[in-house]
Amino acid sequence: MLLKPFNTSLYSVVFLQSFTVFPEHFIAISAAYILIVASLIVYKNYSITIEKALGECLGLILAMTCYLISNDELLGLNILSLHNAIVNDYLGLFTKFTVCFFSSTYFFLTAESFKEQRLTAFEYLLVLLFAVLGLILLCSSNDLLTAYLAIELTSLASYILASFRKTSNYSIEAGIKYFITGAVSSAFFLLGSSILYAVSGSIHVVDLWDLFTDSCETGLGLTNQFSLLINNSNNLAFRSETQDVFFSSILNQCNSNLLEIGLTFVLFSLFIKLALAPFHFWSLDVYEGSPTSSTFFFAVLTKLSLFVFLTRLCYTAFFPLIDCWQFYSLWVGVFSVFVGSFGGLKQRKLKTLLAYSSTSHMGYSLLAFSSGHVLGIRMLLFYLIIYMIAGACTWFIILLLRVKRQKVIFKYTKELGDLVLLNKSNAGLALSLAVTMFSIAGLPPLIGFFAKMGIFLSLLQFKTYTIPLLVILCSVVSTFYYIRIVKVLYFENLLVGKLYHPLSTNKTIILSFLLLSLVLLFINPNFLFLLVFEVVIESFSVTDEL
Amino acid sequence: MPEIAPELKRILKKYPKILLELRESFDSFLIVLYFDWLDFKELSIFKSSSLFFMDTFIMVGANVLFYFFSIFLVISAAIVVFSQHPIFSLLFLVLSFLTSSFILFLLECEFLALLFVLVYVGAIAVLFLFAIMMLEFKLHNLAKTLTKYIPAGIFFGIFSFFPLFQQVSNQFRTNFHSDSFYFNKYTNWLDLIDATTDVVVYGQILYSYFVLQFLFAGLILLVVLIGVVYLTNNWNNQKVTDQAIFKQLSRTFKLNKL
Repeated sequence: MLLKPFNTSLYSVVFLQSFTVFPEHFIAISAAYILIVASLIVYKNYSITIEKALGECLGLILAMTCYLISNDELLGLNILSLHNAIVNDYLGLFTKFTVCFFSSTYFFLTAESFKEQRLTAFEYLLVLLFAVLGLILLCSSNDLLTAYLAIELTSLASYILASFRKTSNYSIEAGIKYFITGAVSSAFFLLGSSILYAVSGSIHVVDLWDLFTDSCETGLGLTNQFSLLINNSNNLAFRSETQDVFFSSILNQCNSNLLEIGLTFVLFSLFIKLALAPFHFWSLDVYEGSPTSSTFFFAVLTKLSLFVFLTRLCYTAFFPLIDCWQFYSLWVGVFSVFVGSFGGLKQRKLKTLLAYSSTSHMGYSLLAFSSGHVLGIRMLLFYLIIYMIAGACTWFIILLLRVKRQKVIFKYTKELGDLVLLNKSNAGLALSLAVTMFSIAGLPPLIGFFAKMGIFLSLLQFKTYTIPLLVILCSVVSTFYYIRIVKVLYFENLLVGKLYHPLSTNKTIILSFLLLSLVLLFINPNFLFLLVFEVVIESFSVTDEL
Repeated sequence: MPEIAPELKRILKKYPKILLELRESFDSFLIVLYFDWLDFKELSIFKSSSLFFMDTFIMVGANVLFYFFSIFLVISAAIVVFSQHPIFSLLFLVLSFLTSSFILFLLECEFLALLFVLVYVGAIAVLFLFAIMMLEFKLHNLAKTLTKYIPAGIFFGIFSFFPLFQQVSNQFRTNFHSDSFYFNKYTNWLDLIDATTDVVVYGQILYSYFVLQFLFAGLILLVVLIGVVYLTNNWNNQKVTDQAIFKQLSRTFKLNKL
């Protein structure tokens, strides 16, 4: 394997090893600092007034983390640190940077809306920061235990975020549903990883890679160390013979069925977290019930790092078991595209509609992932970045849509009917929503087209044409409900629409920036393509040969 | 095997103490051992040893205990689900925790076993008991829901866990290293060099190899703490009382004056 163990002499152990997780340290320490400052000093006097400032402060912290990651000296080194628990390769650093960048954008987008949503407690922001910390750790985690802890940190924070509006029954319901499904999925993850440990004897991705791939010649892997440990005899001929027996026995003699069962449990638990189709039922109620900014977080930010961990697991550790995970990810992907496309047809609630949309998008990404080829991973990362940009745009617009009302009653749920004649009351907002919907649907003058085309191209690597055909047909069906939103915005035969609060200048600037990125990336997508291509070449050059 | 056997035999005759220690390390892998038991018996060098019968006695005894506690655990866990009264199911939950801690004792994980008793029985089960006693809810239509959900539960149980059990038994029925030198590969040779107690090992590993994971477990606890404090507190209806130690210590202190 390309990744080499990080050799450090005694005096440099403390410093260098902890610097490989420097961004995580930075975020954790600043979160602790904010907790102390906000709870002890500031909160007593200025509880509500500092909400926006604190949100922007968190945005700045994450922007600083972006800066730290981009200036990392360890960028090209491909090292393993902290006893093989953390991997610092280009894939990890790039995805970390992406997650940090988008969550920083998230804080700048939502900083003003916390007050409007009546989420006036600094705990909300703090919990969000911890969730981002978990996501970042997951991007570079290289063993099952660290990944489990990272997933738990994110999902426990998410349960709190979902149920944060204590006075609303919907929010509490969303939190409890999320908690129960999340707990079941975590239990499956632990069961699967314990089975994997029982069979293979290790939880590290690198060790598993060494164990299951016939690479006796390369480096000092686990197997070589193991055989050295066992063989105290100096008889070299004997040693090589036993080595041969050992290597051939690993996947041939050892019954790999149990291994496949363990891997399947882990995969299914990650599928539950990603809200893929047979496991997507929690996402509908959770997205609908929880506060809009929390839904923004769940829908946009949490997906990328889970896919990075899936990639590490399947493309390095369990690449010899490709038949197993390819089968499951292929069919779950097709099924979730199907469900996401047909489920949204009759849906009138906006957030549930977007939940279905998110399910179908995760299905597309999983199909790209299941291709078992490097091109698929490139397209997966490309698709997910585009998905995050488009998702940020959509959810930001939904946050901005605040209906003017005479009464004090605050309605949290939004329906398609609320968008009627938005063109008349706020033409710019209507245009931006329409453009975003067109991009998500995958129409040509926008970047969503390239993203979907990449998925289909990577699927054609199979040389089976039924699955891409099915998926393309489902994608055509799903354009119906995206375009219906545009129809509601522009062409509804009604004379009375609703009035909305006007936008502030800052928000308009950020929104137009996001929209321009959707259009301009179509004209020249080379920037993203180059980044993504470099990522994959760096960390999968070994599996490229297989 | 044949080339190595005389070599090993010679070593074992020279240092008979190794056999005792071998048995010790075997005990910690009881489950694996059970499936390899037949192979173990066939190994000729152990037959010639005088310690063989003692070993047999100890290991069979341990196996019997293991099976006894496992069956007990399964039965009490089933009663937790099927019991009509919440108090009974809770008491059987405590019983199942205790039995699993016994099993952990048998597997020589003393620290984990004590942790089970302390945390699950001492804290969580007692908390449950308090909650049930305070709520005092009545479950009239429990039988109805049981008949409603049990077929689905049995269906999923069979179709998801039957393959798992089958594969586990397949995996450990035979030792696939029986032809090679790795026949005894579950012997932990490091144990023979230096033995440390359970708690020391956990401490050593937790604070050296798993520092990052330990820190992140702490962060998870912090997040949960923040969430629980926020979700359960009701700041509006609560009168915030400041602490004034001087006043509170005085003999004429009354609470409502604060």
